[in-house]
Amino acid sequence: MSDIKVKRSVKGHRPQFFEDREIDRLHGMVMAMATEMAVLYQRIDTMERIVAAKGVVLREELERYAPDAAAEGERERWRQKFLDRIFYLYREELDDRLSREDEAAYGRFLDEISR
Amino acid sequence: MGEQSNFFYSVPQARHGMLVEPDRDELARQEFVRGFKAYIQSGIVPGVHATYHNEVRPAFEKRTGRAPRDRHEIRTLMVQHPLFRTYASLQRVSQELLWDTVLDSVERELPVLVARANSRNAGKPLGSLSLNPDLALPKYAVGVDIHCMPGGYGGEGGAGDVTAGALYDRGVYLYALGMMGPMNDDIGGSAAKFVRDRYPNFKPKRILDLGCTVGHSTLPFVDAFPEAEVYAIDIGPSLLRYAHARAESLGKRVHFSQRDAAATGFPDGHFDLIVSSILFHETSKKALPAIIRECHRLLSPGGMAVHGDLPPFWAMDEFNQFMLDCETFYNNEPYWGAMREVDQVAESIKAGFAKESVEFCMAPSAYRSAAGHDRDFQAGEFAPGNAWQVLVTRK
Repeated sequence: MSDIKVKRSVKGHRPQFFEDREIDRLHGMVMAMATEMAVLYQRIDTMERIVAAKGVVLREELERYAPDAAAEGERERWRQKFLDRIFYLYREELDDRLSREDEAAYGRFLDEISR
Repeated sequence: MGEQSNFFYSVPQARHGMLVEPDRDELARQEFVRGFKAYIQSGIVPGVHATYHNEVRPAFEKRTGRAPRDRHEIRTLMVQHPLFRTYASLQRVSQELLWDTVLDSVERELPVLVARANSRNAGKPLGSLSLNPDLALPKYAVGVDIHCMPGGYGGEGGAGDVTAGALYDRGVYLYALGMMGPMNDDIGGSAAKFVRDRYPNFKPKRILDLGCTVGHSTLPFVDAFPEAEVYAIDIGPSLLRYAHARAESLGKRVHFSQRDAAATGFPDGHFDLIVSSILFHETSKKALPAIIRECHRLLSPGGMAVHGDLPPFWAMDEFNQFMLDCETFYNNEPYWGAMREVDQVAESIKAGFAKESVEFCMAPSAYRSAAGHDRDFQAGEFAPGNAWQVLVTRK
């Protein structure tokens, strides 16, 4: 079961929307980051509501907290996954390059399918 | 427009025995991406329309003394406009994020989903599952990953894999912004209701659903025609394993098999009702007529085929045609635009259906009318107006 490979990249050339490819990349990055901010917001909001409903003040404990090595390790793994999400377009582009997919190849495929 | 649309988003996807269960962060991600797609529709698309009608089109008319000819000419004008580029880029990004966020849940739960599918498909199932590893997968279905779903319809990651099904079921719910109902089944449900309402004396004994993916559009036919045997086919093994386990978990009897809709291998006249839901636009210029011909061969005398899809181009203005056609270029849907120009009535007549037995009809949205929703079709999103366009061919 564990040898099932889940594919992350998309077969088919990724179109470019702006003259400067960096802007395309920025769109991807900004929205991936916005997604993670929404996750955080939702977590914190949940915590605050639950804690407040119990009448607990958390602020001082949060200020004093120091993570141990295991917690720090978990945080670093989280950060690496986070970065992987933000740089997903670079991964896509790399896959495009490796598989030699480009706009012309997609156009030829489109013609073959639709004409 | 935003308020009207938001009304639909409050309906959560209905759970069943195979649906992936996102953890709280994954759910937050998925809900955000769905919200992002809805925002593009309500917050950005109106600006694209305004840009064209107030700026791009008048400038073109002033320069040339005529209106843009067709959707292709509109496209050459719009792709130069920064606002359109932003729209198209964000739409693409939202689609990529959608699959990526669902993949997190699927990957994490995969061993459990595979085990569940195995146990559902073994034992004494209501329906059946038959895979054909020798089937040549049609190029149109696997040449690119359609609508940017990683792995595509044919994706098979190993024995017992259900990734494509799990990904599609959750992803399409988010993609449709929940507007196909909590079971994602509005196209099938509307077509089934349409057939029953319009032909109250029609009692099909065998029904076939072409390109069933996870069987979400198939199941309404099991409910609408409880006396009938229901068959469903697709080309992807992972999709079909998932589809069968999903149907079993919902207590629905469907016989799933891996076959090509253009050459199914079923005997002549075997079915009384053949249906497809948003299949046509994911085929090809060669496959579409072949599928219609196959339907003619498979139908019994007095039988009918009902194919549901988004509206053809003739049903909308050039600008909406152009907006809809963005899927062709930016969402790995190579046949999306060309299909909408095919004369499906003519193709049906060529396939052997009598002229008076072929027509386009509007099948009112079953989910929407039951929920009392009312909205217009808007190009740029995947959701119908108050009805789905269906091609009806009777033998």
